Amino acid sequence: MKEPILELNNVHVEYELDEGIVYAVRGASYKVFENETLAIVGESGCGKSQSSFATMGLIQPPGQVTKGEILFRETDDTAAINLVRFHRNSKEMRRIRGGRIAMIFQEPMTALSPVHRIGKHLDEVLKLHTDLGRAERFEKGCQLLSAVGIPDAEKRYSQYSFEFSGGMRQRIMIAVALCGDPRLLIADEPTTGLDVTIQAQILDLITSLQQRSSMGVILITHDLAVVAETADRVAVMYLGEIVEEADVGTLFASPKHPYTIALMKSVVGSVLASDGRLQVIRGSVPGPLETVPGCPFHPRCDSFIPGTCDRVRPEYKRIGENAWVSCHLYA
Amino acid sequence: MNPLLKVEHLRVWFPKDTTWFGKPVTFVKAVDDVCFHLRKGETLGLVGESGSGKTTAGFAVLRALKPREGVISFSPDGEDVFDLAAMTQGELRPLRRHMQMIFQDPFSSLNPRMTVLQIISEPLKVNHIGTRNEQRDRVRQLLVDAGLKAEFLNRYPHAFSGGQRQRIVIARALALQPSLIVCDEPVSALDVSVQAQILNLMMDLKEKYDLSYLFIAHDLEVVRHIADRVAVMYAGRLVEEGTKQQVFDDPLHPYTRSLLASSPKPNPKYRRKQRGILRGEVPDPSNLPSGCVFHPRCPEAMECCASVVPDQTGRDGRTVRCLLYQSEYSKGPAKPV
Amino acid sequence: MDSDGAKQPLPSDEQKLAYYEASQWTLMRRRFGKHKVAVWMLVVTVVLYVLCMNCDFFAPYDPTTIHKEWVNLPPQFLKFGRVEGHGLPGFYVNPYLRIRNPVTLAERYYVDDEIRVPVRFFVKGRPWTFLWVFKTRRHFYGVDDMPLLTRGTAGGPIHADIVDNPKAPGVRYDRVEIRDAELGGVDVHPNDRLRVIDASDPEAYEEYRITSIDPDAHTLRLEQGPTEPLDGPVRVEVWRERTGFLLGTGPLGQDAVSRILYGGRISLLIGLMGVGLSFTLGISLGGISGYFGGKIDMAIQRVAEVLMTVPKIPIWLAMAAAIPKNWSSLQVYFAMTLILACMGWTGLCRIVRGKLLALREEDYARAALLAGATERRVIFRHLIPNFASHIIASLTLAVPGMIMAETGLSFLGLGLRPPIVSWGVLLNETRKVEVIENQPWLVLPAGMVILAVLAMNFAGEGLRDAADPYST
Repeated sequence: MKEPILELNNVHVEYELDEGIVYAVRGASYKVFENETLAIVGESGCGKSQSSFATMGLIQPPGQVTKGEILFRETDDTAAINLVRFHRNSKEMRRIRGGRIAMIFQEPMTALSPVHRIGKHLDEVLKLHTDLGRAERFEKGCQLLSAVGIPDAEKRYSQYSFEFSGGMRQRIMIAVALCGDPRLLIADEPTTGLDVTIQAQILDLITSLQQRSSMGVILITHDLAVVAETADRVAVMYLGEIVEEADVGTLFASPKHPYTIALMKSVVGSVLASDGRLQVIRGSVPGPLETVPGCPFHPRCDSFIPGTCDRVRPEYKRIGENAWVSCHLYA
Repeated sequence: MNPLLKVEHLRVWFPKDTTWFGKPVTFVKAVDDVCFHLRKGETLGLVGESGSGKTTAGFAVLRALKPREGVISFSPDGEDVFDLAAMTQGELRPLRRHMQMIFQDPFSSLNPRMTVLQIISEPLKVNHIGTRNEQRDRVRQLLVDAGLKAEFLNRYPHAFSGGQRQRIVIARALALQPSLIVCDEPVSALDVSVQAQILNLMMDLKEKYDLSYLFIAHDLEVVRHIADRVAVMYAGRLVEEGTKQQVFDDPLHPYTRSLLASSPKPNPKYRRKQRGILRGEVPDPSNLPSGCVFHPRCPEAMECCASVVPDQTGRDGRTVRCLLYQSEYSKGPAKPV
Repeated sequence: MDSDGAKQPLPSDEQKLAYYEASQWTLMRRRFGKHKVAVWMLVVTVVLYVLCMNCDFFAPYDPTTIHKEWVNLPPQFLKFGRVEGHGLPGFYVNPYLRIRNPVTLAERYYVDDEIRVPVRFFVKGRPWTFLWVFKTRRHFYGVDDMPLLTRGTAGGPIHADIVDNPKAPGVRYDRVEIRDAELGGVDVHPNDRLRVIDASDPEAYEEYRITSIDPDAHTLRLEQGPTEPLDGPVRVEVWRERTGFLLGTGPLGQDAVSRILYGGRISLLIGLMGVGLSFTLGISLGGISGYFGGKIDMAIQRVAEVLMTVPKIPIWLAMAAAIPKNWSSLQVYFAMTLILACMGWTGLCRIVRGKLLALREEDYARAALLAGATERRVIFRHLIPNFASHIIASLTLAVPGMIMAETGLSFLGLGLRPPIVSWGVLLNETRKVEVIENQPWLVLPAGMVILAVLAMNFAGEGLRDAADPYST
């Protein structure tokens, strides 16, 4: 079996605030392989973006990665390097960030600088991560714009961001991300806020780009429909922990963790949701400063085992070839 | 028995370029020649993407803005019919208690300086209903209806999560016992698991109080879940309308078909492996294409579609606005791809 | 039906509840409280205002009182220690002595280090009126005059006849013939004071300067006696004046502390009143502009823009120069306030308009309209309370601007003029280099201006940050 291009092992991210310590990520572990899309799904506040920020070295004080390792394999032949070891401003990290690992974000309308032409955005990244000369950079920039489906690339290269619609801006973001020829692309809620038809275009674009360059893709989202549409494997996150990881087919057909099951039942249109009243997950997500003893989901779990679930944290255990679960029911 | 709401040939145009003296030259045609109706006890889902004009149509129905043209027939009791489009704000005021709105953003729909009690009793105060104590009791009742605790009366909006705030908004909308509630994307801004709770609540309240919803949304799955009938809008025009089954299982208009095809379903079995993706962008509303507004992106466009505006034609209790269903055009040559 | 739950109660239930039920004002107060610097600066501002508004109480002297003999004195520094004749150690100053050089007849001031004059609190001094009704003579601090001769030989009050000078009969009544006291035993100097006690009120007296003493004839000469003849003997006392000019005196002998405090009252008050006026103008015009939009909005905004582009200082100078010279101090003062306000309303007008334009589109404003509320109700009940906190913060930042404007104009001689005392007027006297070189303590009002402006700026910024927590 091939080695993963990115591997997170027991990563912890903490923020030390005046009000207390916020445990944004509490021991997350997952792997991403080349030419596959891993979706990290969870509700707001579960830490899915934070684990990616840790990978990119974007965690700033008062936050820091306190435990765990993030192993990144640049090419098939090189050894993996632990990204946690590098300071976020170090030369190594800056080479990787935006170059070998690229990220696109949620708000396309505000992600581009309104005072720079979009060509400048591309030019800047190309300057940082390639050795191309000025004319070559222009050519490559236009190439990338065409590759992401912007017509008339040469003319558009010198336009400003406000001359583009939301969907187009997201495409430009993707082009910028591709400048450094990344091995891994992290897409943080790339289609939230976009129209359904545009969303389909963007997801399709990401999939086809992936096929062309075999890069790995981490897709962070809260939308189960997007997950079903594009992911190969899925990791479900709750309160900073990965509670389940499986193939997309397996996850939807037979989810194991009670949170995944409850989520499936409450999302409109999913297999487990009924047509009448939707099942709700009782209780609510605890605040960022609260710590829940034992299993983080136990106060809201229908299969709660008193004495175990509220005392002991379940182990993240492998239960199948490609399936992991963190639950006492499978201990 | 008159339908609760009947909208005929509604047009809402905003002036864009004007001459020096303020006379408009070009318009943004946010809503153009839209017709639909809503019967009492029904939920009509109004779907469309950004720029479709669905939210503007919702505001126009409630007369939050003045339409350029059209008839909005509102009949809360089934007998008397009022043309909202033709009334002044003063005439509308007594009617406002029969129609209310639920907004999209739970964070801006509650005045952060007022307590929950003040917020929910505001409609009662403005319409001089009840004494202070009676209003207080009614607010308590409404909070319970909306699934909140009565003791939340003295709290301020910042104490609540998105889902809870939306419940307060719903409680406020119910205060005057309206017959029609226009819901503008009420669950889009909420977390997935909270969406379910709010949808359940809305369905329960509809049963309990015999409400009718004009449910504006862009999420087809949500609309499929809650609506009885569905109307699809594109670039200000209503392109298709029918019952839920008709529109979702047997879509007529090419845009509806593309929309359904593009919407991802939370089930990997329905992966869009072979289906086509709609190309192009939603048109600029101040510069709409001629003829049928959808023709530049339409996979089934014919030559005549660029010049002829299709009529809203009806069949089997549903309507569609497409030349493919107008026999005098439907045999025409297809547009070169 | 289950609610999606109140935020699960944590151990500190009361704290959570307090947060949930806290109105925006309470939250703002709490946020403000966290900015220690801003809180202290607010305290400083309040203290300044209290001191200056109650200057009658806090200042020992009248700022316009001319002490010809104590002109341009350096500060008498406040010291702490034992004073003879008084039990516990307390505050004291060393008094000034005037020595006349017998040869040159020039007068020099010396600080007499030997003598310690206690500074006391809540002393009796000049009379003043409290709250327009109550008369009192108490002041916060002061230095008592030293009694030289208050009891006659028999132990009772001293009586004297004040008669006219034989050299100028009927013109000046400056000869005092002491009846029942011995002048010889007391060391009376020229420049000491004769107090003529009012027969009806033993607390009231008239003071006259003594120019010469003739102990053998039991007579005193006054510099300028009463202008009318007194019938019969009057009760008199002889006192030595003790000065307590903690910050020195000005060119006419006025106490610097008193001048600073009285000056502060004028300067600080102009700030408040000027801002109050522009506040009213700004909010009304901005409110109308923002809510109604259209042509009214255009008209108001164009006027505001014209006013904003006109350079302020020349306009102020012109308007100040246009004030008729024969107007009373009070009229000049109000005219100055009006002038400053006329230029200052534009900023607030814009802010209010902007806020209203934005808030008008908020869903909760729409919801109120849809429920049937009138536009007026929406503006006053829903929109205005939502930016009131910003207005307050803006106000606090606008006051120092006004103060500096007045100070600047008066410093240049184009605003207030003596006898009105304001910090700017005080600084006007320091415009010569000799003054700064020889009487540097007179520049102290500049320090007061700096202190007031800094304090208000810090406090205002703290308020603004507390009002809008997302604006860092």
